[in-house]
Amino acid sequence: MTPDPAGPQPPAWGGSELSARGPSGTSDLARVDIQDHDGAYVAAITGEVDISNVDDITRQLVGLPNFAHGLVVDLRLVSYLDSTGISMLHDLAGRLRERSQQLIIVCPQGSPPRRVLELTGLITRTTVVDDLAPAVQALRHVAQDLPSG
Amino acid sequence: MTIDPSLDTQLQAAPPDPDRQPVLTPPVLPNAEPEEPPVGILLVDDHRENLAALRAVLEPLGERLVTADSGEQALRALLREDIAVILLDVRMAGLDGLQTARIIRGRPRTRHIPIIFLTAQVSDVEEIALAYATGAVDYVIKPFEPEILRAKVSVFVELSRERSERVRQSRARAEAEAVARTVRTLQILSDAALAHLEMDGLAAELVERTATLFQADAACLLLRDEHAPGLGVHASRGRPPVPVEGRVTLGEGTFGRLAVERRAALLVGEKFPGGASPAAGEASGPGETITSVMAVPLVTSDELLGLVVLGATSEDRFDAGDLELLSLAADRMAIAIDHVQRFAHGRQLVETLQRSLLPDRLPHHPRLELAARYLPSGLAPQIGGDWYDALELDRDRTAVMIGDVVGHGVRAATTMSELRNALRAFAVEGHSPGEALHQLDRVVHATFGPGMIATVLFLIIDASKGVVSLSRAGHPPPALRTAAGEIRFLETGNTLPLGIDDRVPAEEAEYRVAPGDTLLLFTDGLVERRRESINTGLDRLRDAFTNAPADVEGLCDFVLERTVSEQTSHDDVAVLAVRVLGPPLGALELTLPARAQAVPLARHRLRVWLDENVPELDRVARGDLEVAWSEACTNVIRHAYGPVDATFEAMAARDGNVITLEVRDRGRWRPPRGQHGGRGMALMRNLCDEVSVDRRADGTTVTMRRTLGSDPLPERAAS
Repeated sequence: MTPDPAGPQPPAWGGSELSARGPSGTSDLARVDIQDHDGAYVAAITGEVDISNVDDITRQLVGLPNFAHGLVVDLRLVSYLDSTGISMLHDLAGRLRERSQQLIIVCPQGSPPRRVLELTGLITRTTVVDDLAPAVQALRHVAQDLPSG
Repeated sequence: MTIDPSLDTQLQAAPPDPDRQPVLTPPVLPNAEPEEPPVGILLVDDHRENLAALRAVLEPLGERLVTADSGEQALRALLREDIAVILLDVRMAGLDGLQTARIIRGRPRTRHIPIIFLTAQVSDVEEIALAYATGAVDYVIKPFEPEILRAKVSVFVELSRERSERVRQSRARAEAEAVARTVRTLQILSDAALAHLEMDGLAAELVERTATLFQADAACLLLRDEHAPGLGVHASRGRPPVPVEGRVTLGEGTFGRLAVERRAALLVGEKFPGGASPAAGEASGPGETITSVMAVPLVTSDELLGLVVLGATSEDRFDAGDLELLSLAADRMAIAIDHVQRFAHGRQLVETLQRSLLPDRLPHHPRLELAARYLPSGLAPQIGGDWYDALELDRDRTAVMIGDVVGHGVRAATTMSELRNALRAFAVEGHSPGEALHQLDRVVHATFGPGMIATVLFLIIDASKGVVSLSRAGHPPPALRTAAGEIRFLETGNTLPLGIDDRVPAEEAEYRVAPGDTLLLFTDGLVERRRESINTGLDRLRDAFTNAPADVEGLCDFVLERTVSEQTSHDDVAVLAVRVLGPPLGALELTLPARAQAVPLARHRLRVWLDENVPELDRVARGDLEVAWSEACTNVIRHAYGPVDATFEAMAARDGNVITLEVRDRGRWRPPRGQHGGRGMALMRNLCDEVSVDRRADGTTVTMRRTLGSDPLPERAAS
C-alpha cells in the first residue's frame, strides 16, 4: 500500500488547547505529531513514554474528532515504553471502542516497545502492524464499510 | 663298653611264654624309687628260652619288661609301648636283628631308643660297629655275664630317665613361655586398642601388631559396616587371602561361612589367593603363595563384628596353640573395636543434634559477610552448650549473638535452644542489645530457676550507619580487627552472666565500624586452656586474628587452627566472624525524589552506567533492564508515599556476569489501585531472572537480577 498521494494534512483539531501547548507537550522526553491521512488520523510518537509524560501524551491522543474513523498510533520512533504506556494505549483502545472508533498500533517487530506490547499481552487485544501504510489502509477500509462513510 | 668273649654263660631255662605275645611285665622287685615310674625294656629273641633267661637277668632292675620273639613283633611292640632300651638278638629268622634295627632307626618315633645287640658271632660285632658307629648302641656277646648285661641295661635306663626328665622340664618351660607369650600378646593388642579413638587408626594398628606377633606374611581385618552388606577390609598388610574386591558375603565362601558360624579355623595345605608380596599383579614366586591361614571371628556381646585373618607362606607357620592365642586376642580386639564404633556413633549423633540446634545458614546482607564454626568437644561424645545465631532485623540492621550454657548434655542443649529462641524474639521486637539481655535474664530466672548459668554476647550491626551496639552477660567481648589490621576487644561495662541477678541490667556500648573491619565473636573454649592464664589464650587469639585472611570463611578456619589444639579440645568451641563491606565497587547509587520526573532521570543514569560497566550488553537485554528499573521506580512513586516530599534509593551493581538492580523506599505501600501496579510487577518478573520484594513496616526493597547472556523469555523474544 502506498501513502496517501494527497500527503499529510495538518491536524484537524490543531486549534485546541492541547495544540497550544505544542505538539511536543510540556516534556522534551517525547513528541506527538498528529496528521490526518484523509480521515485516517495518525499520531506519531517520538521519544520515550513513562510516568513523567504519559498524562501529556494521553491528553494529545484523546482529542480525536468525532467524525474520525479511528486512530493510528505510530510507535516506530518510540525508544522507550513501559507499563505506563501500555496502560495508556489500553485505556485509549477502550475509549475508542466505546465510540466505534478503531485503534491501530504501528510497532515493528524486534523494537523495544514491541517486546513490551508482547509481554503485557496488549498485542492480543489490539491491532498491531509493522508499518504505517497498512494501518492507514485498514482504517480506510473501515471507513468504506461504514454506512455513514 | 665291655667285650668279654671268654664268658660262657648258660642261659637259664625259663617257663615258655604261652601266647607268644609281648607281655607287659610288672616289676617283680620294685627297688626303684616309687616316684620314678618303671621304664619299658624290650627284649627281642626268636628263642623263647633265651627270652626267659634275659627276663631272669633283668627282672631285678624293677623295670617293665616287654618281650618279642621276632623282628616284626618287636616293631609292633614299639608302636604300642613306650620303650627306653631294646635288647635285640642279631641272628633271628625272618627280619634279623640288623634289619630290625635299621627300621627302628628309620622311624622318627623310635630313632632315639638305644639298642643293645645280642650276638654269639664276633663277625657280627664288626658289622654292628660299622653300621652303628655312633649313637646309643651297644652289644653283648653271648654267652653273657648277667651282672654285666644288667649293668649295661641299667645305664641306658638311667639315660632314658634323665632324658624324659629333660623333656618334661623343657615342656614345662615351653608352657611357661607360651603363657608369657599369651599375656604379652594380649597386652600388646590391648595397648593398641587404648591408644586409638577412631576406627581407621585402630584397625591398622591391630593388623600390624597381630601380623608381627604371629609372624604372618599377610593379615587383614574384615569388619561389618553400616553402608554395605557383608564384611569389608578395614586394614590389611601384605596381600591377605581375601577376595580381590575386599568384601566377604556372610555365609558364602570359607570366610563368609566361618563368620556366620562364628568359628575360628586353621586352614593348611590349600592354595589361597594373595601372598606375602604387596605388589599386585606380580607373579607369585613359590614362597609367596599363602598356604596356611588362621581366621578368627570378632564377636562381642553375641554380635559379630568381623573377622581377623592371618596368612603365611609356609604350611607349618601356625599351629593349634597359635589359633588358641589368636582367639583370645580376638576377644580383646573385638572389645576395642566395639568401643571405638560405639564412641564414633555416639559422637556423630551428638554432632548431628548440636548442629540441628544451630542455624543452618546465616543471613545475607549486601554490606556484611558472615561465617561461623562450631567444634564439638573432642574428648567425649556429649552435647555442648555453645551456640550462635544471626538474623536480619531490617534492611540496615543485623543481629548477631553467641552464647555458652554452662554444662553439657541434653539439658544444656535444650536450655541453649530456649535461650536462642527467646533472644531472637526480643531482637525482632526491636529491643536494644542491653534491653534484650535484661529480658533474657528474666526469662532465665523465671524458667530455669537458680543454678542455670549462661553467658551471652549480643550485637546489633547497622552496616549503613557503620555502628555496632553491643551488650554482654558474662561473655568474652568480641574482637575487632580494623581495616588497618589493628586488633582490639570491644569492652562493655557490667558483665554478670545470666542467672545471677536479674535486677542488674547489662550495660550497652556503641562502637563505630567501617568497611574492611572484621568482628570476631567466640566462646571461651577458644581462649581457655587448662593450667594456663586466660591472657595467654587472648594473646594467642590476637595473634591468630592478626594474621588471618580477610575472607570470613577462611578466617574462621585459620583462627580455629591456630588456637584450638588437640589436647585442649575438652570444651566445645563456637566462633562467628562478621566483615563489614563497603558499597560494591563501581555500583550506581542514586537517591531520588519520589516524583514522576525521577523515572526518566533514573533511566538515563542507568543507561550511562550500563555503557560504562556492561559494554557487552545486547540491545534487547539493555531495553529489558531499563524497563525493569523504571517500573520499580514507578511503583515507588505511585504506591510508597503520600503527597509529601520524600526520596527513594536506586542501586545498580555488577558482580561477574550478574547485574543486580535494587530500588528501596522508606514508605508504607498503599494497596495497589487499579491494574497498573500488577502490570508493572508482571513486566519486572518477565524481564529479569530473579525478582524479590521485601516489604516491611519501614520500607520496601525490590531486588532484581539478570544474568548476562540469559533471556528470561527466550520463546517469546523469538516470536
